[in-house]
Amino acid sequence: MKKIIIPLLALALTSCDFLEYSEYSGYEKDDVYKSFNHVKESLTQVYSYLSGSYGSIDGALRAAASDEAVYVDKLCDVHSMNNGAWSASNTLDTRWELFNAIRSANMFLDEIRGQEFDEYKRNPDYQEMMAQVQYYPYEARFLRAYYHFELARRYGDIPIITTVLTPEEANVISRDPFDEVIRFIVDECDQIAPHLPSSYANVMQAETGRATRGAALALKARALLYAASPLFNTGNDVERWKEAAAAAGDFIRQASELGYSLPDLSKLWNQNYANNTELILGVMQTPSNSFEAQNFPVGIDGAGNTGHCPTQNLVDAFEMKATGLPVVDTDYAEADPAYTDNDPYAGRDPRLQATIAVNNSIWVYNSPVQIWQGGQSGKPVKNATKTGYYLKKFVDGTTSLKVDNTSSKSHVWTLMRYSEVLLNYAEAMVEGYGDYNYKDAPALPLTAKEAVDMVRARTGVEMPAFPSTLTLDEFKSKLRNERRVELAFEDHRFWDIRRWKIGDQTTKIYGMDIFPLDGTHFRYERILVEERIFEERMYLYPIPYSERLKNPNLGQNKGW
Amino acid sequence: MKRYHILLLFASLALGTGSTARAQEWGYPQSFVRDSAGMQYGATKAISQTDGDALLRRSTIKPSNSLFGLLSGLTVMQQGGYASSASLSIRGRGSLNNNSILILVDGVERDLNTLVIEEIEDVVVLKDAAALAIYGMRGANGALLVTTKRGAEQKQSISVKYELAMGTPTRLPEFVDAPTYAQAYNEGLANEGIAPIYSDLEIEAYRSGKYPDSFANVDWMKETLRKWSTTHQASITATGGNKRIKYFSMLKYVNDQGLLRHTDTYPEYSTQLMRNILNIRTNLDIAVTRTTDVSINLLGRLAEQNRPGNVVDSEIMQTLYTLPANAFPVKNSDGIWGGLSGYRLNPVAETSYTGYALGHSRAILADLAITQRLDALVKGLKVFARASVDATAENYDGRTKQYLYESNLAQFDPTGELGPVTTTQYGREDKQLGFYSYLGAQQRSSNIQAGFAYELNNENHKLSSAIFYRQDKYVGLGGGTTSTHQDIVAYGDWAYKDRYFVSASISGSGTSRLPKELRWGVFPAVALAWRADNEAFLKNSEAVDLLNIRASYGLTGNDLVTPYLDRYPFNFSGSFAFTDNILNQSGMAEQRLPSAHYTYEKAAKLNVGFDLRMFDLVTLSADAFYERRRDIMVNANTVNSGIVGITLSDVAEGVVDNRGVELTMNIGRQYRNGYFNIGGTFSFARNKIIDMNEEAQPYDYMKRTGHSTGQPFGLEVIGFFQNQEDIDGSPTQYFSEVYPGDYKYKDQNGDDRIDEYDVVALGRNSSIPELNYSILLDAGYKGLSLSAMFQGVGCYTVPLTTTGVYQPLVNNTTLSEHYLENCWRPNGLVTSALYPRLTTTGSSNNYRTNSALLANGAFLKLRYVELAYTLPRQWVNKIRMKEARVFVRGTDLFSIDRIDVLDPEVMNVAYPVLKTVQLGVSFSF
Repeated sequence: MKKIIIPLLALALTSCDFLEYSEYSGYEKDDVYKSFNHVKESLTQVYSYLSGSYGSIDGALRAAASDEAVYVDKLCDVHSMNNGAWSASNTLDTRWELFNAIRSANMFLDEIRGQEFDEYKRNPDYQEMMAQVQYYPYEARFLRAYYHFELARRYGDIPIITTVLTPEEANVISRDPFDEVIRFIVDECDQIAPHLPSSYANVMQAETGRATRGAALALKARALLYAASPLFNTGNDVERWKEAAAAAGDFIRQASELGYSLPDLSKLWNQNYANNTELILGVMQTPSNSFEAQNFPVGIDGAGNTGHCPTQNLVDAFEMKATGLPVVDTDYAEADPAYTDNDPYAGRDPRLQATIAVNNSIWVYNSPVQIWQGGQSGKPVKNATKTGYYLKKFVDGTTSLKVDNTSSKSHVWTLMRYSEVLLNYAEAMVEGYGDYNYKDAPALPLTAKEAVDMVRARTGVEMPAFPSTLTLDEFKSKLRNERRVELAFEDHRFWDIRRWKIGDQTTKIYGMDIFPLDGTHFRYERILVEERIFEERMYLYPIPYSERLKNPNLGQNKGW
Repeated sequence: MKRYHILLLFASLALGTGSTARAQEWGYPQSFVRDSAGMQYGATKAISQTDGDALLRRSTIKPSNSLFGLLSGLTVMQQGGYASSASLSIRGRGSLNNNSILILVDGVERDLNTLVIEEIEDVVVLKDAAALAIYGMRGANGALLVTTKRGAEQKQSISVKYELAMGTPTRLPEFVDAPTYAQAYNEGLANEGIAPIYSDLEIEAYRSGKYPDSFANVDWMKETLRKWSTTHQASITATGGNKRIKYFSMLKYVNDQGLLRHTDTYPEYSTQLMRNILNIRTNLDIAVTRTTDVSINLLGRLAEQNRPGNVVDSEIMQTLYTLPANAFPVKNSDGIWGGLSGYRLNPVAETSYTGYALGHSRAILADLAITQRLDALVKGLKVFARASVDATAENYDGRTKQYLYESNLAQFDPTGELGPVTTTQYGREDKQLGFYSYLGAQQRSSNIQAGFAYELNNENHKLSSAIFYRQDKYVGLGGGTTSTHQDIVAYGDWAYKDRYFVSASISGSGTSRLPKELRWGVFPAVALAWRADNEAFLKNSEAVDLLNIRASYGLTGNDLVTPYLDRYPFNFSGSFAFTDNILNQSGMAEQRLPSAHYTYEKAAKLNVGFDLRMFDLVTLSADAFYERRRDIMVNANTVNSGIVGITLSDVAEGVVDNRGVELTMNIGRQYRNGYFNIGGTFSFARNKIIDMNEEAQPYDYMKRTGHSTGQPFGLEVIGFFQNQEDIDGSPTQYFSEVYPGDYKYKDQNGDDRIDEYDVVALGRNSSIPELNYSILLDAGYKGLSLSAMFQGVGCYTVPLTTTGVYQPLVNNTTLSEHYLENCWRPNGLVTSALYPRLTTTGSSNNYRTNSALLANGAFLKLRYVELAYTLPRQWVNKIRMKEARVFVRGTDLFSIDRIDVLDPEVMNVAYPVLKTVQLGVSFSF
């Protein structure tokens, strides 16, 4: 019946367009990719998936899911990563939206191919436009590779996606092996690096923050380091370490040419590219005080919420400034006898106080942080730090939250910086060549020890060089400690625990109870803050249960 | 029922297909058969019907508010708010999306509430496919046909009526006084280990009233609202006609004054919530030639609606449900209004001292219909055409002013003396009014219909049939409001020997809401009926006067889908900062993929029923229905991999089943000096989600599929935490920090955590009552008559979330006495608590959907009771009157339910529903 009636109706009624009544308004695809501004915006949208605070978990940094910190709000989802509640149906930090980012990048690449913006040719600023446009495809490919890496370090195997998928394709796509994903990222970086500028400071609009050649080289080095690490390099193939070393070496070799150097410790965080000369890629945020409101100590004027409480485990990793010796016995050295728990923060690596607010140190509003029992930011105040410390890195202590005088500051979240490349290099060199004094200029321009000593020699840090008496294992161990200290709270420790497969060593979380003796002296007592659950399966994330039902080809990671 | 209904009932037994509704006579085909009591004799379709006069028993200004209990299958729910309309649904809900019913006034889609009751001839609910298929794309949610009155070939008759109604809220919550509030606030603080903010001296000051400026104690509800509202309604109708011309004319005036207490601060204007309405209607039927009839309907409506200058009624009520008694005084002793930043504005000042705003609305509804009988060509054939144009506009004109208000804060010193008073002034005192105006609403619509009708009537066969074309256009204010429809409709109702009835209808229906290639649909329906009482074996039965058994099946549609899902929109999204100056730049991206399956909803409806009349005493109609609705637009992202990297538009993959039963019954008899009737309706409809593309749920009890569309889901309360040990020994509840006195929830999955994975189905339907019933009583003796209607609902769940009443204290919100009497108190002050401990900071653990905060919303209300006296005819005839009548009424006088503090129909914060006492007189000449 329908077959007869509908054509009849259509015939009878096509003469008038009575039903053709559209009040639709919006941008269509053609509008977007013909306009220079919209093309630029389309690429900006791909960048927008690089997130401040590293794409936090219910407000908490992944640091709080590692032995770097405890999140003070016990109802925050991040605790599920530590207490065993994490599962394929109770998912955390899936970052599934990175598939949206990858799609946006792929669509951008499809649409911009061959785009000459002919309509703009007579515009006076045509040349300026095209000066920017020439980098766009390479920026998009960098971001696509970066997002693949973000997914791969979570899930291991992930699908490599270089086309705009249809829903049908997405429903049956299967995961590519981790090694292939890394190979894809490395190949992409190799191809795009020569085309990207070393800096945008001199490109039209001076849009620093875009992907540079250095970013591509650093991503490649990082990807290869992960691939060489025990979690993924199950056969301990030293060639992988060597390849990782070569990639990092390639960066280091060109570092000064690309404009990178190690600035003063005070210029490392929340600084733009002009000030922070080692920043390779970061997420810049316009002025805001929400991170301060989250992390300022509870009890101060304007009321902070404490947020992340750095652990004693991390504090202990900061060595003594004079000797370079640890404050507790480690497998690379015995504790410095000069250290005492009665005055634990004296004479320490300067990076300690740059990263962590310790008891009675001068910080917000130029006042001492009162962490001792009975102090305004100490127990038993509700939501006072659980560990005896407050987070300082990325938290701008010059911000005011006072009700009558609030202020906001810009933030810059470091995604990649030069000292990470140096530490990546040192690790890969020592693992790959079994000798921390080995180098082979120009491809491998530094020894592992030279690289790590460079990081320690930064103005404002100036820690003693690694002793040349260290055994190979001691060197490796001390290097891991150095990485932990230098890159604390920069979203590395969480992943390093995984790629080194040391999760079971990070379950006991310690803090410090602090009791006032008189106005200036305190008694410090180490306490076990919490004992966490770390299971073998947690080295990789679970594929969400609901996504597996939608696409059974995804499979599941071991143990979930 | 009025007396003449009964008479008509007796006279109506011989009705057949020949006597269709009067509306059809003047051009609008309505393919059903009924008598005036709403029973359908010899008809094939499931409908229910009421006479317009039955609505007069509640005599509300808006007709929708008078429809309670009269029509089986129709759910009428009172809404809160000044001048609000009741919500109407037919046979529950069949869709996961838009369930709006089709309302036709004289065959054209219109707002029922533009009319007044006096102009309504009858109201019909169309329920099954046989009745609805001809409405094509708009039929699936059911239809309400409203027909206005017309003249008849009779001597002129003029009626005059006046009614006065006094209304008072059915229920208003009581809030605690200032000292109690301060104590409760302290308790809320103490419950979380926070120091009290009100000292004993301050609490005593609230109690004594010694320092009213600094320590006020105000019953805001009482200060702002008066006890009674008043409504005047006056109407005059004239009807009559001869062979050439018939007319019905009506003029009605309404004046309604709301509940605000202080409205006459300025003699020039009132700030009262107020309506003035004037409806003027003329319906004409003109026999232009012996074979040509022309009908004209004209309704003009002038209405104005007044309110205080700064606030609408919902804001006033929000303040009354929020502002605590201790906030500030109405006026300080220096004569300046009380007020304090951080609190809502002083409701007395807002309602009396901020000027006024007046809305003017104008509506014109005009119909013209022409019918040409073509008996000369083919006997029984006629051609008809009609056109309608409606236009309405509503303009708001505000005259507002600001005022000065002040706070006088003070503290007691340790000796008990009041310290210095800090006076802070806010706002400014305007001497003159400021002006603003805007267009509130505007709509125009047009409708054209034309076609042929054919009727055959001989000894064995009766046929009523038509084929016609119909188009509608509706244009509202602003973009995205326009819709157009086109339909081609054919139907035929055939009767053989008044025993066997067959109806068939089909419509081809098109809508502008869907893209070109998807916008047409075909909707067929068939129905059968058997009049058993006309068979030989029952023809002479003493018991059975009528027995009609019927069944119908067909397809209907619903085009109320989200528009433009076939499009592929791009828009700004995301941003990223570049340059050393850290400047944000906006991003742009695709927003969603076009829908992979975009269409209108299709409802296949099956109906079986019977109509029975026995012993000239009992009439009964019963229906059972089953509907399967397919192609409901549902989320596609729930079943497609997120790896695609883009949001998918909804797809037409939802399926909902809806089934139920309806019963209409009446027992009535006429005696020489009186009559009685006992009647009632019973309707039950329950739906079930068969498919909604539900995302995989980790636990079966979390699944929505298989439940009704209105099923609430929440946590199951198993008690209160009594102390800290209790909390420590129970699974952690991951919503907010818990304290003694907080709800303790059941760990449904046994994972020792209480979180979103412990959410289960709770209670009954929370979107619509599944059960509706009514009982009508009617008796008369000589001139005296008494009638009453009880109406109730069941299988209905309401959430207890009302600000102040069930969610007090937080953000300086007031506290209801009911909550304080029934909440968990420390030291076991309340033994069987219903609500959690007091909190001043809020608790997302407690105030979320859970079994304790869902209540049984069932109620039984007395919708009206009326005592009327018709003066003896011999008296009134002497003064040349035909009839004179006086009556007294009450509406919504009581409700039996389990809510007690609020009206179960209006659980939100809103201008209250009123119960009324009415007095009236009517005369006819």
